[in-house]
Amino acid sequence: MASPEEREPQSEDYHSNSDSPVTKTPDLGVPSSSHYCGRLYSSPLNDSDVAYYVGLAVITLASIATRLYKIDEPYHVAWDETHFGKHASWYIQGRFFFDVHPPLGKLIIAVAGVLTGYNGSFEFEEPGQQYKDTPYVGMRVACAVLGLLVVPLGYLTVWELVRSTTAALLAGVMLLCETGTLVLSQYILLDPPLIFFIMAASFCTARFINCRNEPFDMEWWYWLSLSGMFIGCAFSVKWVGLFVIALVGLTTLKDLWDLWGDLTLTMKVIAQHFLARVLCLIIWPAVIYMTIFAFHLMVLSNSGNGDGFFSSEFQSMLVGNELYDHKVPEFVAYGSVVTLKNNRGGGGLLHSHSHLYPEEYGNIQQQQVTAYTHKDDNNRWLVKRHNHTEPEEDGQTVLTHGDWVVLEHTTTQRNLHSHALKAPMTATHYQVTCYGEDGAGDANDVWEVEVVGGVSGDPVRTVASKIRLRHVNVGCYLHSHSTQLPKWGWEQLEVTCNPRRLDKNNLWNVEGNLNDAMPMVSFDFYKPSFLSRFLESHIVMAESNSNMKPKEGEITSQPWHWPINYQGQHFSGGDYRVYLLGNPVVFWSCGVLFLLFLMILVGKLLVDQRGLEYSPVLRDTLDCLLSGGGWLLLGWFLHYLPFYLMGRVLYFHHYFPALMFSIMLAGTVLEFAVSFFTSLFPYPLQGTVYHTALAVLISLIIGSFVMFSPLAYGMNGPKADVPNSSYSGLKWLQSWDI
Amino acid sequence: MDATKVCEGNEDTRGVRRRVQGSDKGRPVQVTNISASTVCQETRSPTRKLSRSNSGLRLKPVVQAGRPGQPTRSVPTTWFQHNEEGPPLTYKMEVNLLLWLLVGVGFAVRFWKLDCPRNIIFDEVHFGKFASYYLQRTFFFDVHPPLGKLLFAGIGYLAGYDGSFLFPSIGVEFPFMVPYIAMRGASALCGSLLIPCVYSIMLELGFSHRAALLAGFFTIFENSLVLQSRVIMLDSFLILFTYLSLLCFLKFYHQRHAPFSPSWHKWLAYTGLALGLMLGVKYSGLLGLGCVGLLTLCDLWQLLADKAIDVTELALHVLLRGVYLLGIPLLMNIIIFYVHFLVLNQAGPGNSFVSLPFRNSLQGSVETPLIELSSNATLIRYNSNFTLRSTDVSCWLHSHDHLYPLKYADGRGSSYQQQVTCYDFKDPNNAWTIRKPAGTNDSSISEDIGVVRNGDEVEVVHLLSGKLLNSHDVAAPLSPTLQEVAGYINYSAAFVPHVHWKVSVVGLKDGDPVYWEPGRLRLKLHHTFSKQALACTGKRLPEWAFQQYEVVTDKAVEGSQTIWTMEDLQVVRGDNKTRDEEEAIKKEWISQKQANQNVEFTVSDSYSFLEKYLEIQHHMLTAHGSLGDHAFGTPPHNWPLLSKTLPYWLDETSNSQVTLMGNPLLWWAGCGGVALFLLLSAVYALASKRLVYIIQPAEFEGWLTRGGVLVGCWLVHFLPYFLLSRVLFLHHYLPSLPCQLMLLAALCDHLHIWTNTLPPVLRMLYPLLVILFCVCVVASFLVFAPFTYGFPSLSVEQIKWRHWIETWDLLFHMTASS
Repeated sequence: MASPEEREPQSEDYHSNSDSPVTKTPDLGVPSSSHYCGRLYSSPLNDSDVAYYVGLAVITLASIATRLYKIDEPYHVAWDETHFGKHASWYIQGRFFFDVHPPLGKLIIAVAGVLTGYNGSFEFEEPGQQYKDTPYVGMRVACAVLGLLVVPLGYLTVWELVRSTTAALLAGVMLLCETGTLVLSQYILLDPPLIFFIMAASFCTARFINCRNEPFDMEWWYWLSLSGMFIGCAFSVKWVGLFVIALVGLTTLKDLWDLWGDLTLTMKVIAQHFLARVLCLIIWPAVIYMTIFAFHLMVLSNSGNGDGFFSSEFQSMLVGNELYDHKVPEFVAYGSVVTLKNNRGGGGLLHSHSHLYPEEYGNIQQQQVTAYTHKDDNNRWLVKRHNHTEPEEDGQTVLTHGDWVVLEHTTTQRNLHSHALKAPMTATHYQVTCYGEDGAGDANDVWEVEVVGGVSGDPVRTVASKIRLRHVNVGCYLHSHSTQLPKWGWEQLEVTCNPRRLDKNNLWNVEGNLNDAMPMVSFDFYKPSFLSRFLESHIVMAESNSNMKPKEGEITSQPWHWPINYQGQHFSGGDYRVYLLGNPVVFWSCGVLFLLFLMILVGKLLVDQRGLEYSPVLRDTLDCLLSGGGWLLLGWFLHYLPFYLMGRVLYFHHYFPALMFSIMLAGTVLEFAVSFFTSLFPYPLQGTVYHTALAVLISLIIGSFVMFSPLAYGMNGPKADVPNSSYSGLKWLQSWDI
Repeated sequence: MDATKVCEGNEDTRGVRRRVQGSDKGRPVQVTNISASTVCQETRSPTRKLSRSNSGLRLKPVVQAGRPGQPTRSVPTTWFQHNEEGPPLTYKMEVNLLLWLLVGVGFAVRFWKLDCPRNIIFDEVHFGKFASYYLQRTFFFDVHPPLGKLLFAGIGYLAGYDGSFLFPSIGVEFPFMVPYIAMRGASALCGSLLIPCVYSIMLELGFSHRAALLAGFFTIFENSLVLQSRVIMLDSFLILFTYLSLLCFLKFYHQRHAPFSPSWHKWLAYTGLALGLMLGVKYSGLLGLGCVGLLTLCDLWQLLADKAIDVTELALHVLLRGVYLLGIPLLMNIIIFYVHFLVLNQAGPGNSFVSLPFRNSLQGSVETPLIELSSNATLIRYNSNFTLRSTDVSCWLHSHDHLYPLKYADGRGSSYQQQVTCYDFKDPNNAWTIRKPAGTNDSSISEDIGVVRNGDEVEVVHLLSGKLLNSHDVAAPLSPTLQEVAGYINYSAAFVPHVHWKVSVVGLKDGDPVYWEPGRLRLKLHHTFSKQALACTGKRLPEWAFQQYEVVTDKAVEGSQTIWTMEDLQVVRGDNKTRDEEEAIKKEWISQKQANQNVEFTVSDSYSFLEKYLEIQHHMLTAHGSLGDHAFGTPPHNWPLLSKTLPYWLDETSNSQVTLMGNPLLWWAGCGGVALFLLLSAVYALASKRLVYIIQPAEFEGWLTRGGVLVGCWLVHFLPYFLLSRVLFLHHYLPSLPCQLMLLAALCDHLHIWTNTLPPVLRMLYPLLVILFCVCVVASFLVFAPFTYGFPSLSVEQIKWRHWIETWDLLFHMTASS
């Protein structure tokens, strides 16, 4: 988003360079530092500032128009708005919740909601719920504003990389006419802020690299710190922001490598360069990220539905939680009803329910014991003496280190039990079940309590004591970890008995403690610092991120589907249908141009290795194309390939950050192709050919947008499968479910 | 006789001098009967690199010295001159004693107590079984190509074993007739041969003999490699052939000064051969192929810059490499499979994995080969019962008393009629009845038992539930773009039945009578109303349909998913009249066929080798994905640091056990080595970028390329596993391990130059340190040897003492603990 004032010196710089071509040829690959780009055909478009500004203005206005058109439709909750809308509401209410994504995106939505008069009362229960009087448009507009800025940012980035208004214009038009991007921009989602920050960070980095001739001046610092800010923001929206950090990081490393090789620079100057980058690209984004988290924890000060994911200490900071500033019995006594929390980040509460383990796990099917992150009555356990069948009358004898106990599940009245059978998922551990009837069980129900660091006689304290439960007969320890049970176990966490004592997942703490007979004492729980709360949030997030599995019957997609636009995603069903599908013309031409770029790249490498001579103008043009395009290619790779390594469930919309780079690359290559094509014609015709080709291309792209725009702006009537549907012409692929 | 004349170039001379010098000092190379020519030929390439790599060391000044013992003063005239001519019929030889010692130790370590334990260990249960199948010549199916298993079978055959023991399960004791020691011996032999192979690779890469010896030493005392060489499994073969191909390629690379010479061709062909062997054992050998492929590309990249080679010659280079490195393995693969099919000519457990024509090519298959319109051929009549089997997916058309769920999880609705699925197993619910359209919706049985002719419109009734096979414009459960197929239930609602289907037999014209022969009749059922065809999509339905396959009607009627085989048929037998009618139809049909030979009726009797080959490759590729989960499977990120072990076997009574685990010291040092290599390379690169040379630029380049090859090979053999979603085991890591060991050895050698700046006393300390490390390696090998050899049996305390890492799986009997 360069304002004209900021851009002015840059453009003068460019002109001075193009008047007297510098002999230095740009490096191949990342990053582009070329201030001079060869031109096979020098169009007036590329050489005039007016064209540059007009292009930028037109692109921006068109972006505003397309992104804000029909922003209020549909009048109901669409797709993931149900999640992020909910999150915004909880922010506004200050109720603690847990989500796998960092807070910034949701905070932006919440702030937009507050500013436009939304009070956080709407439920966002499920897709399709009517908004009625809820002022939801503000939140959508906030997202759309970020989404629409992506288009001019693409334009600017391409210009920075190859100094060609034509290439920038082509990239801008393709971004503008990409229906999928348009759809993603129009709803209350995290993608608009994410893509915006990624694009902004890329642009600032490209801009910063182009400032390398005047290090440490104002502009240089400005763009460097802006890059840092945007990568921090991108990472604060979703962790996929890591990919843009990688892109910026690699670019910076290459830059530093060049500086390091510059023998005119003293070590002191190089150290300054290095420290400046550490400051702006590592420390500064980290500060931003942590500040946002601090804000997040500050806003969400009340207890909410996310409590159960976090440790007891964490919960004690939340207003309204049973552990918050309440009086609880300090000690656990026989006869107390307790809940046991696995003492690790994201650990669940010991849980059982009246369902049995499937037959293949033991001849006698016994009741499942799991760990569950939500609070419910099935998490309650009654502490009993191992040798008494009657419940304790007074409830005042305190449980101490070394005691043998029996834990009775209060709802099913069965005892926590283990035996030397393999655990369902972890074959090296033993199975834990609930066994017995009406509280009567057998010798395998006895557990020895071990307080960490305690000696015989030390009492078990609520929350404060970390305990191990040793199964007396088998000699193993009650254990829980992040392995999920399959469907039959409701995908709750597995609980096993681990023969190894020192495993850190064998630790538990008493979280809830109900006992009328014990005195209620208010004592200071261990109040976790911000840093430990911050870390714990991350452990929990990381865990649930990798545990995301597709729900039954849900349409998921594979990464290889994405670049070929294999299938889309339904945003809104019913009479008003929105289908997230890329504009196939843009997608497929990106694909073709991508391959063309690879061919040019390989071809040039081969020719150079062979040492063949060719025209210097072509060489300069190719150098420029390959350095700028190579950087975009790297960006595409970094935003796309890691998805192949991810175990979690993936959706089509994950591709869009990579798509941005792909489109910018396409614009760059397309400009080269047009110039090359033009240069084949005799000189007098060249101007006509060039501009005709451009006009044809741009109108083709816009035409395809007009054709496919119903996908984004909503469709009525029969599906495209039906022959006489008005959209039957759009179903170009069998797999599209328009 | 002057060495410089025999050897080409100056560097070689230096090599010889150094060599001789070295032998005087008792350096590890023993040279007997020094002859300049043999020395030059044998050691040209390694010593050249050696001299370069050590030029930073104090040996450098030696270059100017003359040959030892050669006087610098002029020799006084002698009367009696030696005859310079050598004796006739001599054979000069050179014995690398240390190498032989190394190999000897390697053999001893791998062959010691090979008979122990006398029980089936881990995957021996599979590969032993396969060997037995080969010997019994019964057809089986496995995801790995046949060569390794054929080798085991060959050994069994030579040892006179008849293949009657079927290796029932892990831990079962071998009966006397099973030559399991000989079979394990094949593994052990390959495992031992890896050691000289590693040694030579080090030399070919240009490392010193010292480094090569060290690499060989590490390879010997690596527990996991030892264990894998002692079991009837394929990995030992795979690893040897992988490194053999690398070695041959490096030999070939050193022939680049004489392209297209006989030895150039020879080594290129050997490389192809080794690749072929490797790919014949396991398809993970593709990684080895990738490794050689990358090196080939680098080689070609270098050639590209050489302007002395014109374009046609360049093309020839590319072409020949392609032919040798891809053509030979492919050819070998085909030959191996040819042998495989030749041996396995009897029907066996693999039958259920392959298609009908394939099965029919095996002796003793249930489906006997057919003659056209044999006595088996039965004319199909209406009201016959039959089962339909999908040709794509091995399952039968099925229905049962359950309805489609009213709403799917994604919110779409279904017809709520009876489910029609495709089921993997034989079941009474797979039976259907064909009948003439009744014209009404009722399912009362029409009595017509006329002859079914191709193109007839029919109804298909589910035998047990009496529901009609119906398809309608409702999205199928998993494939929303396709139509649902259901057993029609009359809810008197808006769902109109569309229960008419057109029989369309592959290879018949409309109106031809439809004959059935066991398993031979392939047909399609076209849905009359929608013009789509009945198909099985091969997708598993969720719990509500018991994870059977989805059945739909598909618009793509030409696809193979729409072809069904009529497996069983129960014809309604009529009276004499119908029999006469049948005879008449048969006669008419035969005469018609004779009149028009073009009409194909049966599938060709012989299923060609190529068809079999392609089919089995297809099955192998798809079967990899469907391997189940395993309790001891480990994801790749746990491998390099040995955070998991893989228990192979635990004795029933004692705690003696076989567990796959590396020598932890070597594994950890190996990873440290990779890190150190990268760090050192970075330091050298950073320094030379500032024109500060810690080591000479040429030496740095050599360091980067040699180390780079090793690190590259390691990565190529390791990283791709991150992309695989199937269950993986620790032993998948082993092919990449020797690369790490070689790099570690090279580093031990290289770090020597860092001691140059130290005072001599400290400099002496360095070799001692290396020796100390070697001693530790052997010690750590011995500590974990009981898990490698399954001997001796350890007590629980001893096992617990060896439990260095929490996550290791070491087994012991609980009862023994108390």
